[in-house]
Amino acid sequence: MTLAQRIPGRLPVSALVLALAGLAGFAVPAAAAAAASAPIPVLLGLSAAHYRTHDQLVFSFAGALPRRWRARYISRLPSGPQPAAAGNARLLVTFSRATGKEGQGTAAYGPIRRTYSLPGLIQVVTVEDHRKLISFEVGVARREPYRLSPLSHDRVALEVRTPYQTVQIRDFFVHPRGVLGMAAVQAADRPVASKARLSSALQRMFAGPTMAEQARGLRFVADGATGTGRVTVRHGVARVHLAGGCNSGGSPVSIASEIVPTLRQFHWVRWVKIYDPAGRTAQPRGDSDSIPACLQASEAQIWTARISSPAFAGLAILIGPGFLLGLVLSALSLVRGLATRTVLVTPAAYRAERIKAHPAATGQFEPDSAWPFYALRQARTDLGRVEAERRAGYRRLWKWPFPPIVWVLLLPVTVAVIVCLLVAGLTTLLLAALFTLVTYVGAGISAVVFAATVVVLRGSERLWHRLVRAQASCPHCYHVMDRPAYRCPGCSKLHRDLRPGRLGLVARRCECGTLLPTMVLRAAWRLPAVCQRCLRPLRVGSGTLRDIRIPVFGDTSAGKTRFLYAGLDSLVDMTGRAGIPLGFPDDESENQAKVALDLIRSGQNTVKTSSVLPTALTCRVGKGAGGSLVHLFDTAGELFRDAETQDTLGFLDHGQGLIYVLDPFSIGSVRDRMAGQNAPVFRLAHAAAGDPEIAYGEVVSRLRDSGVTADRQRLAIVVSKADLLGVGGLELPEDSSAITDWLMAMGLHNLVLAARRDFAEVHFFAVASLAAADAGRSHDPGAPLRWLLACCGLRLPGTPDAASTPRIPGSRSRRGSQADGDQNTFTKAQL
Amino acid sequence: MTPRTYVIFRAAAVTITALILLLLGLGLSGRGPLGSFGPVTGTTVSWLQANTGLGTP
Repeated sequence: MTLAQRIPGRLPVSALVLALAGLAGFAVPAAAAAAASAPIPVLLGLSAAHYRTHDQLVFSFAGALPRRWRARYISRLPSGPQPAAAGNARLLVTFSRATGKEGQGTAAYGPIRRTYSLPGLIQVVTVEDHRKLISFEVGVARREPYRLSPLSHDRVALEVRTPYQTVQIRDFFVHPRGVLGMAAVQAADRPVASKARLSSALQRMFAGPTMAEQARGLRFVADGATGTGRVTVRHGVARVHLAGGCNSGGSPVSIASEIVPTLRQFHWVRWVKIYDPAGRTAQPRGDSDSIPACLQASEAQIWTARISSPAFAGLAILIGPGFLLGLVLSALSLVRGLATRTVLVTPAAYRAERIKAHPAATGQFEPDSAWPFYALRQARTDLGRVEAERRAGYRRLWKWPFPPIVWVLLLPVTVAVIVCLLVAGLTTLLLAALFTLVTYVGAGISAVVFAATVVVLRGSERLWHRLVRAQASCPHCYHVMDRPAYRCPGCSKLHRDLRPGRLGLVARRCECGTLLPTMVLRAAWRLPAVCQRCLRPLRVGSGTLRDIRIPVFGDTSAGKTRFLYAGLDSLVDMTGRAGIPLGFPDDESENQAKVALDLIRSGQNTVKTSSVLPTALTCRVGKGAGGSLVHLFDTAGELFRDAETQDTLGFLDHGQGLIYVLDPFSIGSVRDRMAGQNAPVFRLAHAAAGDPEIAYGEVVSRLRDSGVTADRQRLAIVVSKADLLGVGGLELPEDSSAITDWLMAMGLHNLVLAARRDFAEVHFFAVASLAAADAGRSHDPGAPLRWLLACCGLRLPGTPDAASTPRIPGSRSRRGSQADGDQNTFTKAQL
Repeated sequence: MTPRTYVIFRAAAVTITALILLLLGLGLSGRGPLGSFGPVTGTTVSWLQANTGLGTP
């Protein structure tokens, strides 16, 4: 039943007002009673942190916030002279209607005195926790503005500004079991204002260790002192007057053990003299530390310390010899591993490793035998060797000369030796790690620089080959290669790949110790080059000079050899007049040329060419790196007819241009004209017996069968024996097109058309294979050679006009094709 | 026969290692480019002095 239902509806208004007033009179005390019975907020914890501009101390409560809170700076506590928080200024923070006690009366928020390692906030001490009032004294480094405000529904924060620079100093505290179970002093960092660092250090020391440091075991040994009085530093002597009390109880570890290192960290303090509250100390004068009698250790305590401290000091002292021993051992292992007992990865071993790792595929050569680059292989072996020496040396240290019982009896010495050896082992380990790191970093940097340089050098050489069109061709087996192989001048060992690489950057060292240049551009003039396939010597400069190969073919007795000799003579004569150097790269070529030139200049007949495969007649035109090696190949005509021997004529496949020598006396119509009164001339001409079209067709078929694209090559058709034709009354024209017409008129239109169809460019020449001195300017046998050389980029004086715009093989232009087509059309129309 | 480049590389590695050690030693004494390690020595010395009396005049 509600209150409205209980009130009768006809009650007078006055009675209702009285009733309401009565209810109100009961309600006020009820609300107060309810508030009084509400749970009191309990302080659960304090936490502090530093922010950029201030330190913050947070009070965390359970349930709700206290009813009121307040903070103010105080000079002394209102309730009396209780122990104050450490600091140059103190804040009193009070919370009313709050408690910090749990049910059993213990503090719920932890210790009542706590120290912080913060720039501003130093210490917080509980002053009072009684009758729902809890207050704290907060010691701060400087009197700065503050703010106490709620942070959330259950936290209140005190923020104290820190507008000053700080530096890190160290305070020393005692760890009762710091080293080997004995009391030791350990440092703790403190941020203090830049000014007054010395007094701040002592102040922070008296504030004691933080809660975390206490958890580490650090304690502040005060020996009854509550602080310091006057602190002075003069002439390097710091004088500290203790306040409060002074009694170490005869312990060897006293407040002096903390004050002395704390003050000695400042470079201007050399000696520390500590005075008791009465102003006394043992040695008030002189350059020495001094403590008062109240801090002197008792005899018994000193004896205890004498037993333990020397042992500890001895251990510390043993670190020195151990370190030195380790240093010597490391040095010895380095000397042995790198100098006296080295293990070398020989070229043969490295080659075997490489072959095992990367077996040579078909068409590839196995790696060369030379000393590898240090960083890529030997560095690893050296590190392994040094480590093995270090381990062996250290293991030897543990083999002691006397039986174990002796060492048991000499236990202190044994312990000392063991400590020394352990330190030595640690030292060698660290030094070995440092050496390994240095070696690996050095090797890594070297390898990166090495690889970059290899790329640059190889690229530059490749570029050179592409620009100059440098190649190496074997004059014996006709194999054409980008790089020749080289023989070591010291041991004749073969080096097939002399490019910069694992075996050397600018030079490599052969197994025999001879230093070889790595790039072909440098090796070509210093090392004997050999063919990669037949291993026979190549011409000097092969692989670095422009390599021009010109095969000559034709029927038996067509006059190939004589034309070749006469052409060479013409070249020699022309280059001599033009001042262009022309020489022969080696003795073999020079002897060949001498025989040829002697024969042609003496007017003798050439002997029939041997049926064995020919060796190229090589001459070098130009000097230096801009020169060219010109290889002229001549072979017996019978070899072109034999299907089996044709396969061996590899020089045909690699020629940049071909010369077809056509004997005019083998043409039927010419032969008919020469019959009768010109019969002696015909006999003198030793006319070729075969059909010129057949001889041409066989060679072209062979090229086609070998996969050689003849339509990218140039062909010079040389009509030989022009001088004899002239004697017989038939004058050969000089001009290419006129010769074409003449040949067609003589019935060789099939040959002319086939040549134009098969080759990229065809030029016709009529030559008289005479010495240059006899031939004069007409029917120059050097003209076909000069035309082909010009097509290959070697332009000489007197080159035929047709070669003035040489077409690059493989780039048949539309215009070129049209021109050829027109020419052919013209030829067919004429026929 | 050891190639000369091997000797150069080995000597360089040993020299650099020794140089680093030297710089570290100087640094621990508060000098040189690694002089910032000086306080480590100071801490160690004061620790030793405080706990063993070693080096105390």
